[in-house]
Amino acid sequence: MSRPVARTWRGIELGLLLFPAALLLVGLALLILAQGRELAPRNLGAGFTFAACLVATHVWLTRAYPHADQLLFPIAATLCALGQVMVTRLVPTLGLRQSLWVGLGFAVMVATLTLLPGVSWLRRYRYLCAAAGLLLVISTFALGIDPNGSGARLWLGFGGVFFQPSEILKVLLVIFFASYLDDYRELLTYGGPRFGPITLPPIPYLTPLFLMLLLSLLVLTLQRDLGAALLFYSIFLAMLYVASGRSSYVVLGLALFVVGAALTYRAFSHVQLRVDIWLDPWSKAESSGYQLVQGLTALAAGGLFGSGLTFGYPEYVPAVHTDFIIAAIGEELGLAGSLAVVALYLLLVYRGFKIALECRDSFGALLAAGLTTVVGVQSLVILGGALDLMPLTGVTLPLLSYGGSSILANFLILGLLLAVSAETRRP
Amino acid sequence: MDTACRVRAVCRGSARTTILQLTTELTILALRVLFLAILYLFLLAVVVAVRRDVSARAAEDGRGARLGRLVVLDPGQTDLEQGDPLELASVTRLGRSGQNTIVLDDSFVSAEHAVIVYRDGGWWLTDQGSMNGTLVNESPVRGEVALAAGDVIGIGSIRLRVTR
Repeated sequence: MSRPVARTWRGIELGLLLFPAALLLVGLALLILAQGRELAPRNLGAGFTFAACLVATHVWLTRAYPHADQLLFPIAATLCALGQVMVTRLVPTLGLRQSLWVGLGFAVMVATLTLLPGVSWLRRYRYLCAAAGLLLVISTFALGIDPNGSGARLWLGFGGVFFQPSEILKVLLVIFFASYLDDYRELLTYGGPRFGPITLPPIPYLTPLFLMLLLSLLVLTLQRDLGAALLFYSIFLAMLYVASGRSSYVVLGLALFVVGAALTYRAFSHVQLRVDIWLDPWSKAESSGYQLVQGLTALAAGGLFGSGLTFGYPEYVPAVHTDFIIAAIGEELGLAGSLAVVALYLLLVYRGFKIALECRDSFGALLAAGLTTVVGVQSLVILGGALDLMPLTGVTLPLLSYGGSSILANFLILGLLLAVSAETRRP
Repeated sequence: MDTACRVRAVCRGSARTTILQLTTELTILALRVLFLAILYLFLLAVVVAVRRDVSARAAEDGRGARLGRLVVLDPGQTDLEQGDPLELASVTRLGRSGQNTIVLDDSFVSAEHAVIVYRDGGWWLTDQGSMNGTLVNESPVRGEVALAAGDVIGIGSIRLRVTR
């Protein structure tokens, strides 16, 4: 009996990886021509290096994890290629750094897969994960710096390299939630006290979870990192629902969210400001609403097919290479480009939830669902914010925006998702 | 003669630059179209791959339908072991008599105790009028109840967990 050869050959992945490689090369060539420079192979170094990294990662995945999901990596690589083109176009000096981060990201993904002795190993260290995450955030109170003048001290610096702890905290929190909820899954399904049609969760068993959540939310509200706080609450609700299958918990969670949102709106002036800008950015176009109005103008100027790379004026939008990268994509690649971005995130999230559904181990399934929620909700929060559909909270667009911590954290997520998939599909 | 020659040379030169500019602009336009085309061709390729994946899986499901299983938490008086998997069929009968899909040889189990049906993408359990009743998550079953993955079925002292 010979084993089918086709299954150990990641042909679909290899075929799909041609696209991100070509995308980056074409994009860089376009930038060189538009800036009137000479189109020579030596000017396309970043593109060839990226292609080489793709091939190396693919070969390694084929050798070590032939059965892991084949679509996840190409989708992520395409987002990265588009991100590298946009960052190179917007801030040419950061282009090379971004390619470096993406290369390191591939390494982080591969290292996560290799070094992790089985997904279930993570569940044993849940309190360590929670403690490490909180320690990181608390250390930003004492040692936090604000290298790019955003008004919040969210970074830690080590010799010229800045690192944003909340990026890694979200991964640690998902591991903690997955492990904790998996242990109390049956109790959660059974439910606690009942009030008419609404079943409350069995509260005593959930206390550590609520404390953990409250603590991280408090830390983040005091640190003014609203985007991260919103993200954490969504992860918590989504994972509680996945673990229990009870929509009443979600209704209850949303009710608590409304109360909490109303309270924070009253208590914190920066929350009030965000909501006021969301409701009417145009009256504050010259002051606090400047970024949003510039972003909306850029998106509108792009039209259907955009002005073409380097032919727009996205430089007027503050933070355009990080949080507002969608405004630059909308202006220079048009609605066609921004819709492609949304479709890419949709496929990435679909693939993540598929990995969660296929997983037979409930901890692995919860972990995959939680990590996918992180990517999905974060994209939604910043895309919705930039389109003035919801109050703007500063988070990066996963894999697209410039930023080392964000890129590395997202590749850590991809590595964990591939690990769950590799364990599930191993014959 | 001399001036005419110079004028012609200048004209030829500027024509060359215009042609050069034109080709650059055409190349840029072509690359712009190519850039978006690559993005959309990639999306198409992924969707095709997903479609193939889904139809392959559907064919697999058609052959060896896996409708989930029951995992033994407490075997009661039966000779099952804790952790044993019991495969569910589209209609699974539980009881003491040998006619059942899953035979539970325990003195608290009736001959035809309960039935689990797979319908509309979910499992439904009905107690077949058994002597000692059936529990789902420790509450007695009346009529037909939906089962979710993770639910625990109790028959006598036997405990079975529903899993995918």
